[in-house]
Amino acid sequence: MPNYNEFEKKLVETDRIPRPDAAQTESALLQLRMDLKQVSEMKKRSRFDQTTAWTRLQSEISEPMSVSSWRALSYFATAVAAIVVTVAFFFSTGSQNSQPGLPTISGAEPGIYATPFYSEEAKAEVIWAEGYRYIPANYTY
Amino acid sequence: MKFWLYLILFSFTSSSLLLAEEIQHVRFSLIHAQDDGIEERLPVQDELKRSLEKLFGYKKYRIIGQARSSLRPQAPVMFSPHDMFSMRFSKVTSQPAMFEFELLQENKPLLKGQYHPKPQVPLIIRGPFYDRGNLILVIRSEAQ
Repeated sequence: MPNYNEFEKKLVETDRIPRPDAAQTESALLQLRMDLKQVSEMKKRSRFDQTTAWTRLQSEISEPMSVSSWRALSYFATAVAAIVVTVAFFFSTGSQNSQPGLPTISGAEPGIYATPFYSEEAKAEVIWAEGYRYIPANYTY
Repeated sequence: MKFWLYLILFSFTSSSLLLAEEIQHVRFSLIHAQDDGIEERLPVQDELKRSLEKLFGYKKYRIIGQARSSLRPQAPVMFSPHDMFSMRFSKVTSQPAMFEFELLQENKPLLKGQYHPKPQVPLIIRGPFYDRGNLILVIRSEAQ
């Protein structure tokens, strides 16, 4: 069971501790605010300094566009144009070759029958016509 | 540096090739095919000879007439490799280059049709029998 006398004694001791007055508390708070402001400004400045340093470093590293740079750029553009033209050319010829485009017959003399076809063996397009008049051997060329 | 120069040169070459597509150079030959009795006269064109052998089976082939010309847009062209045969070409469409042709024997029309010349692919037309053989007409598109 707690001793009542001891408790009372401790209470008296606690009352004796000097309490800070309102003015003291206010000045301490003001000081704290000033310190915090100072720290924040320092941080901000350091960030600004870093950015400035980086920008300066980058501008020092990258060279200005000289004549040789422009020339290199023009060569590059020409090369790209050349590649585009070449690819277009090969595509155009490729599409032409891929077309079947067999010859067609739209008319023939009566008695002549013509059939167009592609001969894989001969690698040629053929118009096989029948029904011509025979040309005798006495016709010399 | 040299690499770029080569590339520029290459681009000019290819663009000139693109422009050259418009005009097609064509050779028209009249050939007499027979097993014997004629002198073989088919110079260098071994590939053509092989093609003709596969199609007709004769042993000897002799060119008896030849004509070369350029097929130009909007201008009809007449080929006459020989007095006996001639062929008229006129352009129908540009893309692809399609030509209307008319085969004539002594100025009398025999066949009419449409043809799209292709490099490396000859057009072989079987002609009439002549003597103991056959007359053959060959049209080749030449790359120039």
